[in-house]
Formats: sequence, C-alpha cells, structure tokens
Amino acid sequence: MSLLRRFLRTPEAVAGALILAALVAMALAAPLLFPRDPLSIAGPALLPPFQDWSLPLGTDRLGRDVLAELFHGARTSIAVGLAAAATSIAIGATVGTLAGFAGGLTDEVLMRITDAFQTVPGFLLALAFVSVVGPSLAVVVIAIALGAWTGPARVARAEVLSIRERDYVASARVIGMHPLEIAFREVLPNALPPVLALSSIIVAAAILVEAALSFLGLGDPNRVTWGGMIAEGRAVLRSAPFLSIIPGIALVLTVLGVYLAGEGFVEASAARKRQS
Amino acid sequence: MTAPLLAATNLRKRFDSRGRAVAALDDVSFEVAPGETLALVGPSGSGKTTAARALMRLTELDGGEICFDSEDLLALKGARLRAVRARLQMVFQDPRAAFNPRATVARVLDDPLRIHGIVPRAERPEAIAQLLQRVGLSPDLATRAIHEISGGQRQRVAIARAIATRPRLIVLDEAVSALDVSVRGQILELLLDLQRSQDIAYLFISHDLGVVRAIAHRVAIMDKGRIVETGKAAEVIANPQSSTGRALVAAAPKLRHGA
Ligand SMILES: Nc1ncnc2c1ncn2[C@@H]1O[C@H](COP(=O)(O)OP(=O)(O)OP(=O)(O)O)[C@@H](O)[C@H]1O
Ligand SMILES: [Mg+2]
Repeated sequence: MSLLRRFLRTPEAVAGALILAALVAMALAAPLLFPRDPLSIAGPALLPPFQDWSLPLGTDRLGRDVLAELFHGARTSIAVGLAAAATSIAIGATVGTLAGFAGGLTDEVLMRITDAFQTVPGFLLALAFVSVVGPSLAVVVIAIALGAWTGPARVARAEVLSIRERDYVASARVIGMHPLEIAFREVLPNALPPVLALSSIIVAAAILVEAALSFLGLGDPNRVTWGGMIAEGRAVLRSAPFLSIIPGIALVLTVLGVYLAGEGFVEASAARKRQS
Repeated sequence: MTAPLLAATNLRKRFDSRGRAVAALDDVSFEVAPGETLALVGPSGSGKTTAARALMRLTELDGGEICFDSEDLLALKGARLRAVRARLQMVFQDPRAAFNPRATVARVLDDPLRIHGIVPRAERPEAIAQLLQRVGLSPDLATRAIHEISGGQRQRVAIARAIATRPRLIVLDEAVSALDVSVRGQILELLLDLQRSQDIAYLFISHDLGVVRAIAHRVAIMDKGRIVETGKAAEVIANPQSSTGRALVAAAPKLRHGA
C-alpha cells in the first residue's frame, strides 16, 4: 500500500495535514490578500472582531488589521520553523556523522560539545544568543537551531555507528574512497531517515520558541509574528482579550498540525517498512 | 621461484568477546604468487574472514607483516594506502550487503574509475559499459538501481568493480557461497576467464572443497586461527594430511567418490 493511502487512513494525520494546508495557504495568500504593510494602520484602534467586514477580526491597539497580521504572521512562523529545523538537522547530521564515523577522540570531543549544548535549555540559549547578536530573522533561526541540533546529532551518530560496520562501507574503503566522501556520501544519506523523523517535533518546537522570543520583544521587529501579537495584546488583555486569543489559537493549531502530520507520516512510513 | 605477489608473515589477531580472548589469527603465514589462486579453507570461525579483512586493512592486526607487490602494506596509511588499493581488491560474500542501497550500477562502477583517475570523466560511461560486458552483463544494466538486479548480477557487478582498477590480487571471501548452484558455476567460469586474460591472483576463501578444487592452484587449510596444512589443491584434497583437512574432505561427499 502506498505511503499516502496509509497516511490518509489515520484521522489525526489527516487533521494535521488539513491544518498545515490551511497554514501554508494563509502564508502564500498573505501578500495577495493583504498587499499593504500589515504593520501599518488600517482603521480605528481596538475594533472588536466581526463588526466591520472590511476588518473581519478587528484591529489592535494601534488600529492595525488583525486578520492581515495573522496571515503575515503565518509566513514568519513557517519560515522560521522550516529554516530552524533544516539548520538544526544539517548541523546535527553533520556532527553526528563525523562523530560516529571517525570514532575515537573526534567522537569524544564532538559528543562532549553536544552534551554541553544539551544541558542548557534551548530557549535560554536562544534568548542569550538573540540578546547578544540582536534580533533579525536569520539570527532567530540560528538561535533556535543552536538549541535544537543536539537531538539530530545523537540520532545520526547512533545510526552511523551501525551503518559503518556494513559491508558496503568496507567496500568503499576497499576501492580507496576518501573517508570524508565515505562519511558524507555513503553513510550520511542512509542515516538520514530516522533523523528526518525528528523534523516535525523540531519544527513545532521552533515555532514555539520563535513565538516566545517575539513575545519577549526579541523577534525581528520588521515582521509580524504571532508571539509579538500576543505580547501586544497583553497590555489590553482585560478590555480586548481577542487580541491575544486569536494569535494564541493560531499558534496552538499550527503546532498541533505540524506535530500530528509529522507523527502520521512517521507512522505511515514505519508501517510500510514493516510490511515490505 | 618468482617473488610472491603477497607474503603474509606471522599474522596475529586476538578478539575479546565477552571477556574471553579468541585468537582469530595465531601466527598465520602464507604467500600468493602472481596470477595464482590460493584457497583458504577451514571450518566456521577458523579465522578466514579475519585474515581477508586484515589483508584489506579493514581490521588492524596485533602483529605480523604483509608485503604486497614489494610494499610493506601495514606501514601505509592515508593517500598512499588508498592508492595501493587499486592493485588489491576484494569481493564480499553477500552481494546484497556489499553495495550502498541507494547506488545505481553505473555509480558503483564509476567510483573506482574516478577515485583512481583511471578514465577521464567523459569516457567513463563507455568504460562502465565495457566493464559490464567483461563480466557478462548487458551495458543497459548501468542505469539500474542495485536493488533492482538479481544476486548473481550483483556479484558480477561486484567483480566488475573489483577489476575496474586492474588489480593484481583480488580477495574473494565466500564470494560464490550465497549464490545458486547454477549461477555459482558461471561466476567461477568468469573468475577463471579473468585470471587467464588479466593475470590476476586470487585469495579464494571458501568452505566448499568442490569449488576450491575447480578454481584453486594451492590450498591452505585453517583451523582455530592457525594454518594446519598447505599444498597443491588436487593433492591436499586427494590426500589430506591434517585432521581438519580429512574432516573437510569427509564432509564433502561428492569428492570422495568423484576424485
Ligand atoms: N569483530 C569481532 N569481534 C569479536 N570476535 C570476532 C570478531 N570477528 C571475528 N571474531 C572471532 O574470531 C574468530 C574467527 O572469525 P572469522 O570470522 O575470521 O572466521 P571465519 O573463518 O571467516 O568463519 P566463517 O566460515 O563462519 O565465515 C571467531 O571465533 C569469531 O568469533
Ligand atoms: Mg567468514
């Protein structure tokens, strides 16, 4: 049975996929539906939702269109989530492959570094990094990756340790292939599947960390972010709770969607592997 | 007598498995002349694979010397060791495990040609087609993924990869054991053919004395990490002197009557 059919048979996975599809659609449609700068003023301040149909979700404290902010915020969340996951998997897979393949002192040193990073909570690491370097989208991505690469590194290393004993790695040595080429061309691609299985968790966590950084005012100031919206709304939490609740719901749904779809995909591919 | 192509002297290797030390190689010495086939036979666990992997520098020895093509093989490392590998090749037992599962036939054969700079890039597809033909496969197979071809075809590809760099010695560790009987005969024919046309020497590891009889000039019988008997293949098989040799011959019923 195909991967897709298996995936579609799990209701949670389908729910996750639908949420993700909606999110991606929002992100793609944002510049078309809301071509104006979402950070510019669109109407009277603190307009409640469902009052004015040109501003369906109302406006915030400065009179900015909440729906436009929500759509543009989706772009930021997706961009940061994907970029941070890609960066941490790239770093983790490289470090894990080098450690597992080289063994000995290299392994020892790289794994001690991994341990060191792992003992510091990822969010603190990101917080410290952004406070020192200054907030911008790229810095936020690197900051999140800094705390997230250790998981992929460990998984990659464990996988490489088992792969490096296989005959095909011995064959590569026998034909005189350079060890670095063996590590990155023969071993790493075959070690990737379990590492990639971590991506949904990493994307979800990255989106949350980005929101938390933005909430603390450490997000990219030139971009709308859901975390930033929640922080903005906090000042008027009693009089206009929807300003915090709307981006909050978006955030929860997104993280849930990424997680469910990711789990569904991993389940489906594991089930297919079991069968073949 | 001509100088040997390969001289392994006093090879020693111990493994510690679960606290117990196992002498996988206990003072093992043997020689292979250019263009000759030496068969290494022995019961399971006698140290044949360990010897093969030590020759290929896949397993580090505890002691001993290996002289290959008048070079001290154990003294080489890095780029110089990789360069020598062009002349010293190996074919593994299990043709399913010996290739990167993501590789295509073309890539498998391209690697040695590229790494040792044997054929310029533009001419490699042609060289790959020739290699495939030389091992009796269709050049059309080049674009196939390794997992799409049969075990016998894979073992031919493994042989093609081994001969791509025109080696002087190929170590074959149970290279035909995993194959069907009919395919086994064809591969042995191919090996004999390559030996005649390119003067390749083989270190042929097997536990099948029938196969050994068909392909080997000389035999070395191993038991518990030691070589207990060596001699011309036909003579050793007809009249084994060691108890291990007699046991191996006795276990191969066809030989007792046929030869
Ligand atoms: N990596 C290893 N770790 C521990 N012990 C090992 C290792 N490799 C081999 N041995 C041991 O060394 C001895 C020789 O093993 P080897 O694989 O060389 O035998 P073999 O003659 O090739 O056997 P077979 O015919 O079953 O392939 C055995 O006792 C084996 O258990
Ligand atoms: Mg063996």
